[in-house]
Amino acid sequence: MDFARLFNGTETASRGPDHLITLSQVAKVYASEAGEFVALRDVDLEIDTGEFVTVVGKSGSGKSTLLNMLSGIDHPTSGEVWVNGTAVHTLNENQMATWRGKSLGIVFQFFQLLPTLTVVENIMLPMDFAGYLPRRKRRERALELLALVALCDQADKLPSELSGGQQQRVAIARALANDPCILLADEPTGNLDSRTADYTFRLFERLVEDGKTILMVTHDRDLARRGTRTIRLADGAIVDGAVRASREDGNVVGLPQMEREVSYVGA
Amino acid sequence: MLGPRWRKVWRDLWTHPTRTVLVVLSIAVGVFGLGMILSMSSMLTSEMTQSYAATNPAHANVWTWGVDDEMVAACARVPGVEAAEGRIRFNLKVQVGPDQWKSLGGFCLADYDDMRLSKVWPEEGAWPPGKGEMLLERTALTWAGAEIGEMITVECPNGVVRQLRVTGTVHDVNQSTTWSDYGAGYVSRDTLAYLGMEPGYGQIMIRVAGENVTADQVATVADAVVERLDEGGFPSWGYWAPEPGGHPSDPIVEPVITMMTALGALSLGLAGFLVYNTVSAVMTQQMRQVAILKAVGARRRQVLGLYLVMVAIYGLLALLIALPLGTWAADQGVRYMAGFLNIGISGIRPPLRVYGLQALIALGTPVLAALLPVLGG
Repeated sequence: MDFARLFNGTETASRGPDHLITLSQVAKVYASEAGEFVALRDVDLEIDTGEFVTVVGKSGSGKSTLLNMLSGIDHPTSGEVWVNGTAVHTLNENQMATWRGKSLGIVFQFFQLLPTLTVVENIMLPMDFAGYLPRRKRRERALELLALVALCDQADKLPSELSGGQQQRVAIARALANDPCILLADEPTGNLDSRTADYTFRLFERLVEDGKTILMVTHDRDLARRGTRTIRLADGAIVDGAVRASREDGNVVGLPQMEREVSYVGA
Repeated sequence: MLGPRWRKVWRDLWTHPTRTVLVVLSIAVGVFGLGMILSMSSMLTSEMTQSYAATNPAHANVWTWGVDDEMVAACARVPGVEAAEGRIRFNLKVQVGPDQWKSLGGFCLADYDDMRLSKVWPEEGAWPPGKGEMLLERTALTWAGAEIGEMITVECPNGVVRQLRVTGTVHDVNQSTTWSDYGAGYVSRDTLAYLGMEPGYGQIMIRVAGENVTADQVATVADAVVERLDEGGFPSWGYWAPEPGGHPSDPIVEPVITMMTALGALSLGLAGFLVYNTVSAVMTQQMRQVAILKAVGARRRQVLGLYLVMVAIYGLLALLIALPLGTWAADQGVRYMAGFLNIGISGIRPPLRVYGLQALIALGTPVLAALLPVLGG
């Protein structure tokens, strides 16, 4: 099955900075009774189309906050966030939801599928909210995405009837529902066994091959090394990998492991 | 086919069926109560007005003594009077047991075949009453322990005791033994003489000319009639004028309906509190799901819509229960009240606006009650 036809959302906007994702001097400070906590400090980051960027760092280093800045789930205290030509830091809640629905797919560590919807309905939900595709085409696309993650036969089951790995694959299919150009994944393999984690990672690699850009937070250094670039965060600052190194200068950070198995899941 | 978001709403409702049933029933009780009262009030008012208007009721009843037809005609010529008619009233006692007597109002109408004001209708048996006969008001037949064709014993204020044959019943909306222990009987002038009673009219019924007559207009015309009677040598000791356009029992019925409406509103208010608490609990429970919905692209308006539709479904389910039950109960209530007030019922249905109002209350109350927790969530 030719899955590439499922993904057209790789076009980038012409407005804003040249990169697909640009963070400029982004800081995030949380005020609490104990005082101010700096989660991100003056982060500059550029990511281009087709990159598979992994984000590593200790707990509390700011990995999830960085992802929240990109997804618009949280606003920066200062600085600018540009994603695919959109100044995310300027969007209000409604604009943000509309933009997020069309431009981003988010994969969570704990899958976050809606328990009362079947697998296929969970995948159709983002299309429903975004008005993506004619109504009658949505189920068809959801089933194709399920085929991509090899779960066609589970379409009408409830999430509770699936294993953790299967649920994560459904969550990935859901993230791809509106054909976003960017996938953000927050510890997507953190709750999976190593075999299922590898399975999931290979799925991401295939998506990158098909033109998606992926930013993935992970604790797993082995998996992180398989991305095209690895960003290391410490105390809210990027200590490594902020800018893509050119292949010509021989200084590529986190060289991709190109031993991807071509026999993709479900293909 | 329902979109997945609406399927979520529907399935969420039945994830906790007991909670849903409880909320639906609570709203249904409130809507049922208010719906029943609104329907009943509407139907009863229409039935009372229609039934009473059909009698061409007098605007004022002037009390006097011994008036003849000539004086009644003079009263009819008083400016502002559209029609005047005399009626002879007297008190009787009717024997209902060996030593048991009840008070009975005796009436002798001026012309049984040409009543113009405060008409009474033949209900069963003979019409009009002949000599030595009496027609009983329909509620007085059982009250007096009598049957059509039987003889009853009556005692007049002059001490005369006579036996009269009950030859039929009439319907007089102004009389009823259901709300007073005072029956009514109707006799001819011949029977009046047989009972030894004076033939003069003691009640002059006045209808004031014009549309939408006001109480002030009635008072002015009634005062003029009283004056005319005085001039003719027939002193009057006052008149009784019910609110024009209304039923004489309105002052009794209206407070009852107001009180019942208040109780209905109270139960609906309590249902509102329950919905508020339930929706607050649902929002707390679904906070994570709301975050997921937003993460997959739901706008605030869409999320609000989901939860408001959910509570509107509570209301819709409640309406489906309450509307037919309320209409049925209202119908039973109207029948009971019609019997109590001795009015005829023509099977009037509640107007569409009453159904619309019930729908508005059923859908609006839970949505309003849920607005705060949903907006807060």
